[in-house]
Amino acid sequence: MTFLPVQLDAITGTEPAPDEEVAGELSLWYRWRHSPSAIVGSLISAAVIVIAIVSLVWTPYNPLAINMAATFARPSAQHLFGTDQYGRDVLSRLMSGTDVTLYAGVVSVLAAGAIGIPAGLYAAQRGGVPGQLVLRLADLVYAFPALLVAVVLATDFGGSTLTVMGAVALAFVPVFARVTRSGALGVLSLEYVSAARACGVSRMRILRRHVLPNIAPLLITQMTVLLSVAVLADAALTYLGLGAPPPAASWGLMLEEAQRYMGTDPLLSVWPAVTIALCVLGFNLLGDGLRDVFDPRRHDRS
Amino acid sequence: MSLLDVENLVISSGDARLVDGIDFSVGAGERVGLIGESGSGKSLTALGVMQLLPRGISSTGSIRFEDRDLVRAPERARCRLRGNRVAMVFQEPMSALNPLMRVGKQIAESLTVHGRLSRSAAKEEAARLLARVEIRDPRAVLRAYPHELSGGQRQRVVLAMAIANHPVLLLADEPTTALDVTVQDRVLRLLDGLVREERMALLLISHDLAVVSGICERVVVMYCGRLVERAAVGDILAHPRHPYTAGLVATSASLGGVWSATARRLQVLPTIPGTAPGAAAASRLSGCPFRTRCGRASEKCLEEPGLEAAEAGHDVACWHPLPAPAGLLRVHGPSGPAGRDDDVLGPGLAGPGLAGPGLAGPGLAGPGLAGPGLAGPPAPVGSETDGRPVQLVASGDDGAAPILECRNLVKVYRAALARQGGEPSAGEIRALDGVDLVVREGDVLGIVGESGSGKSTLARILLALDRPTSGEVRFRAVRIDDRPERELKEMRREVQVVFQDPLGSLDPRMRVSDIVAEPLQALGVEGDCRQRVAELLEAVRLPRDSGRRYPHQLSGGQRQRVAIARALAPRPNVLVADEAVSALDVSVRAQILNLFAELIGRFALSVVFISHDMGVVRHLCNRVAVLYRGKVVEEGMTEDVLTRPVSSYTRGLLAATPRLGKQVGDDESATVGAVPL
Repeated sequence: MTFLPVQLDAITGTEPAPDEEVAGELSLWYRWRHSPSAIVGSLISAAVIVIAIVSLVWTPYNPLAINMAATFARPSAQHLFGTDQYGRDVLSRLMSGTDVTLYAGVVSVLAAGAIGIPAGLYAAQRGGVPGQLVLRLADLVYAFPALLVAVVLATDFGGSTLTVMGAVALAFVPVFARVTRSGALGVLSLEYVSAARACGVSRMRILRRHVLPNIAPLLITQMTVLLSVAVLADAALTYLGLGAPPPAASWGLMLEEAQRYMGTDPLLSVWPAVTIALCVLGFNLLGDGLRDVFDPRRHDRS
Repeated sequence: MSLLDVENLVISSGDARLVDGIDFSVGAGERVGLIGESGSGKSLTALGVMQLLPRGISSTGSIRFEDRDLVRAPERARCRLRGNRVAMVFQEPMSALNPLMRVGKQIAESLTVHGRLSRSAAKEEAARLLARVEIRDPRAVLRAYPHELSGGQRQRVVLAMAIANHPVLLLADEPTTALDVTVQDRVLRLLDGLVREERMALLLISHDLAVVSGICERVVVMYCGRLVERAAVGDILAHPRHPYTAGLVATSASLGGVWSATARRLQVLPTIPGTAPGAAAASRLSGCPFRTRCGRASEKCLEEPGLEAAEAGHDVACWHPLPAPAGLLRVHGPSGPAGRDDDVLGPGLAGPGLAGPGLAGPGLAGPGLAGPGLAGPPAPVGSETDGRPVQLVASGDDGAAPILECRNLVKVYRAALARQGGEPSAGEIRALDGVDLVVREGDVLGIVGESGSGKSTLARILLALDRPTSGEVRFRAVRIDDRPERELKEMRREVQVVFQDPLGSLDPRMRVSDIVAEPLQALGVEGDCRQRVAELLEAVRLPRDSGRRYPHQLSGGQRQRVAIARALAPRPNVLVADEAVSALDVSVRAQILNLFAELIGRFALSVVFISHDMGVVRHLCNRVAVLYRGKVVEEGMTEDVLTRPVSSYTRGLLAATPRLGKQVGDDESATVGAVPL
């Protein structure tokens, strides 16, 4: 009888790697394809971004051009969504409003992250009195109503998109700080951080190389969800007259103006309302979807 | 007609056959062990028998229990059987109990659900059951919530619920794996006694051959969802016929927790090379699933072997089974007196099937060694160490210089809810309570302790990852416990660590090569980084391309090799290993231990090896310290501690350690009363 080694692995004492296909099934792409909210959310979000970019170079009409000959036009081939009380093209105004809203939302979320994430990392890494101090400070900011901040800012500097961004960003800072801290605390308690410390890796480097990449999914998800809140906040603040002043093409402003002509042309308030709702829904779905994609276990458990 | 007859049971998830046509039976009152490593499908088999498979997993075949086919029976009929005629005990007692329900109510529920007793009668019966599972104060435990009980008590409660309705068959899935050694011993004794007295049949599922051999009469061995061997316990231990079983027996035997003069320290352990493919991969593998790890494999093994009787009552699924014994040395099964440790290594190991030179070790030299020889060249482990014990630089005697030492270490944790076995100090846990230890150059110091003994706390303090409440730690005579991080650079380079959980200790978002290079960059070790990483991967015997992989793409054993490579990267002199092999399967554990032994010799490492496992410590360490509730209760040369233990705790620990062929409750360990639950 002869014994033929069927595979070299059997005699070298090393182990063959486990099946790679299993790893493939767990890939982000696979999970994205199997999450309806991720698909719908990214489609809507992509549409919003494309429209915002297109509006920079092209809109059917000038969104600010007044045409008193064609006020309150019904939707038609010339004006897909009709015109408003000054005869301005509603579609053009909605498109150019996308640009403003998206810009305000992204900037306020990024600005909040730029302050909140380092603060949260610091609180997690330091602990003790300095860490507590950061947390309590965050609580203080969190407890202060964002609307009040916007009113105060608007009184001092006048209503503008910048005012809205400032108020929204300030409101988001503590949210980022808390999410970052709890995520970072989790990672810091893991053995690979202990192993890195035992290797003499510095605190900064541990935060940069181990903590941040591992809480990145959490932060990205959080940013997407906050973006939808920012869109809503932007619309609400502008509606209250704390944001961009007329005649700017902003969704909140359009809603506020259209409301006065509810009796004459109810459709005029439907368009911005639907747009805001769709946009918020899109970012929210994207956030939920990303959560599924990054952390499938949480989804399975529910 | 047996009580339980499983025929051609197939459990599949989609296309993957996770359990692939297994047959076994359990007679009335019979105790059968189901052995397998992780991913072998043993737990699925148990769930399959209960027809409690998770959603998306289906089973075919026939499971006849008391002449009723459970696969085809309507769910209602199965419900009447579960918890009534058949009961099950799971590994994790905490998740088997409802955390929001008092223990008494839960036990009463299992009594009333089958409508046998009224509520008040059920309460009385619950108290009786708790007394039956040897809980000291049944009345108090009835009123307790699960989290207020210790792990051992919880498992007793689960047992009480299982036997509440006098089942005829008890399925126990790793019932003691989550427990400490001494607690495990007592729960096993209890289980053994209950099964005998209540005349229940038992199907005990475990990865631990020693545990199964202590209780069961027959053993069924599973590998990759297939049944590879089944026989009486004595036959399996004395002359396993399947190469896989033989490897398991050899590995388990050589890691038994008892000192034997023949099994020398650091000698190369017999291993099964490689690692089991994952369940999904195995289901696509045609032919014998073990052939890639088998030294006896031939072209014939590309066909699937059927289960055939090698002799009466001994079935094996292998084209090239190990030869039958020629009336040589025979181990005593549980029916006879317990065999001595060295006797267990009978002629069964003599077969040529095991790759690796471990068989050449003096402790394993069975009479039949002159088999047809190993297939292929010997494993590299052996080519360097030649099967002889690795020579140490220094024997760790008192003459060598202390390299790492601690004096009077105390670590107190403040806890919001300190509930540690009714300790009086409210809100305070003394994890370490005055520990003195010295590690000399060339020492391999084993620290043995159960959960809560403070051994991991000790490791973290020795590594200067945590600060002690009081006491001092010195590295090369310089205090390190009160230094800021920037003054510890030199110590960090020289003292490295390997943790228990190989997945948890590797950053999931870094490639293996980056993980291994991390200490080099952090400590500014000069030289070509990539070259050094390649050397290190080579030293821990990882394939060259593994540097590009992520941790989740590796097997458990490979991950631990990566963790070891990282620890070796800055050329340390001291290695602290915290339960470094505990999370690994038996066959992989031996490989990693061999690697440790080799590296200790090759790099002249001094080692602090923390473990709960006496066998592992015996194999690797020249000195042992036994830690119990934050105190060192015994310390000395390994041989002295293991053969002449002074402290009653050490004696209890040694007696409780499961051994091949040693029956539960078979020795002096019954006298150990000093160990609290």
